[in-house]
Amino acid sequence: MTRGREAAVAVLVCVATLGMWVLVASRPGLWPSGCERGCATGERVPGPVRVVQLNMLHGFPEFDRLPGRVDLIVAEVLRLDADVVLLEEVPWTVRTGGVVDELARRTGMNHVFRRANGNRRGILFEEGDAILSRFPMRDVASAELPRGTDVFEHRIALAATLDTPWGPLGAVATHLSGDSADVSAAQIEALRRFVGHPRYPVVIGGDFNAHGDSPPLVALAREWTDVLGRANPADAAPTCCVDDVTAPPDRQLGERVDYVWLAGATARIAGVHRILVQPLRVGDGWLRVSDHAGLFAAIDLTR
Amino acid sequence: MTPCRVVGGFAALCALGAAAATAIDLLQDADPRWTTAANLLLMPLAAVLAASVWRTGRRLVRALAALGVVVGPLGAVLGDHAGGTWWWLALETAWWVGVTQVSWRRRPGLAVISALAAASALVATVVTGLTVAEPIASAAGVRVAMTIAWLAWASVDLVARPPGRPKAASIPGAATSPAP
Repeated sequence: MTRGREAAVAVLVCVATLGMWVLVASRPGLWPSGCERGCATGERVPGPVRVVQLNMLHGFPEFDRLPGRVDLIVAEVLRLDADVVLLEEVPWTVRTGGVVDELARRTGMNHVFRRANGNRRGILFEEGDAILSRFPMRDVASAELPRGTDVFEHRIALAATLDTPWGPLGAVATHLSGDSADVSAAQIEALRRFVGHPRYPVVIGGDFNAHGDSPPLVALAREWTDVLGRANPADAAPTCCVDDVTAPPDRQLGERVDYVWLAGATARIAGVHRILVQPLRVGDGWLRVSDHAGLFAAIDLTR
Repeated sequence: MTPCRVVGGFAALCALGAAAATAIDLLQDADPRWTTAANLLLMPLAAVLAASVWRTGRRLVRALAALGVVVGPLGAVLGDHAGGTWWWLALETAWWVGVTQVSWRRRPGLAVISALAAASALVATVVTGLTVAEPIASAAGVRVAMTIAWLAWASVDLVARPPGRPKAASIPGAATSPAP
C-alpha cells in the first residue's frame, strides 16, 4: 500500500469512528450497576413499606438548579423515611457526577442504575432509571423497551427483587415515551411482559407519559392496581408538568402521567398520595424538585 | 522470531486489550476500572513508540513521544476523572503530537490517526479546561472514540511493521538504490 493510500484509509477509519461516536452518543448502558446490598445504613421506623416514585428531571443541557433539587429530594426521602425510591431521569453530569451515587450515599440506601440515554464518556452526560432501597436487592434485571420516533431516545425498565423482613418485594422503575398511542401501547405491553407474574408483590413506578383513560393504561389497569387511583382517588390529580422549576406555587400541574402500580401477589395499600406538588421556599425564591410531582405509597406486606 | 517482533507483538496485544477496555468503557461507563485497565494496557505500546525514536529522533520529538509512558500511569491513577482532567488531556494531546511526528515517515496511517486523535484530545482539553457548557461540551467525547481507533490501528501497525531500526526499503518513498 502506498503512503497516500494508507493515509486515505486512516482518514476513512477516522470518519467511521466519528460515525460510531454518533451512534453510541445516546444508548442504554450494557447492564445495570450500583451497590445491590451492603450499602444501606441506619434504622427504619416500623410500619408498612414506604415507596417514593419521582421523575427527577435531568434538565439537559442546562441542568437547571440540579444540585439544589438533589438536596430537596434527599430531604424528602429522609422526611418520609422511604424504604424504596423509584427514580427516572437520574443524571450524570460533569459538575455533579453520578446523582444516583450521591442520593444513595446521603440517604443511606442500596442502589442500582441503568443508563437509558446519553453516554457519560461519549457526550459527558447520561440519564437513566434507578432504584434505591433500604433492603438488600437481588436479581437485578432490565429491559430495553420498544423505541419511539426519536432514534436517540431510548426507554428502559429496571427491576430488582428486594429482600424485606416480610418476604420478597419486586421493584420496577421505568420511563415511557409519549410519542404516539402505538408506541405507548408497545412499551406498556413490553413492560407488562417484563414484569411477568411473580408470586410476590411487585411495585412498579414510573413516568408513563400516558393518561389513565388511554387504551393501553385502561387495559393495564385490568391486570395491575393503580395504587393512587384505587386507594386515594381524590388525590389522583395531575403530576406533570411545569416549565420553570423556580415558578411560584400558583403554577398548576396539567396532567397525570406518573403512576405507582401494584402487580403480582396482593398486598394492602396502607396509604398513598402525591408529594412535592408545590415548590419549596429556598432562599428568596421557590424551587421545585422537578417538573413532575412525585408519589408516595405505603404498602403493607404483612400477611 | 526476533526480539523486536516479540516486543512489538506483546505491545500490540496489550494495545488491542486497551482498545477493547476503552470500547467497553464507552458503551457501559459505570465502572472506572475499565479506564484504569485501558491506561495500564496502553503502557507497553507507549514504551515501544518512545523507545523506537529514543536514539534517532530530535530532542523535542523524543520528549513528546516519551510522554505516553507518563500518560498511561497517570490515566490509570486518575481513573474515572482522567477524561475530565484538563492537564492530563493536554499531556495526551502533546503525546499524540509526538507520535504523529515519530510515525510520519514509516507509519503514515498511524500518523494521520494520531494527528486526528491529538485534535480530538485538544478539543477535550479546551472544553474541560474552560468548563464549556453542554451541549458543546459533548464534543469532548469524540476523543474516547478516537482513542479506540488509534489503539486498534497502532496494534495492527505494530505487527505489520515491528519496531526496530527501519530499513531504507521499508520507508515508502525512500531511495532504494545506492546513492551515486
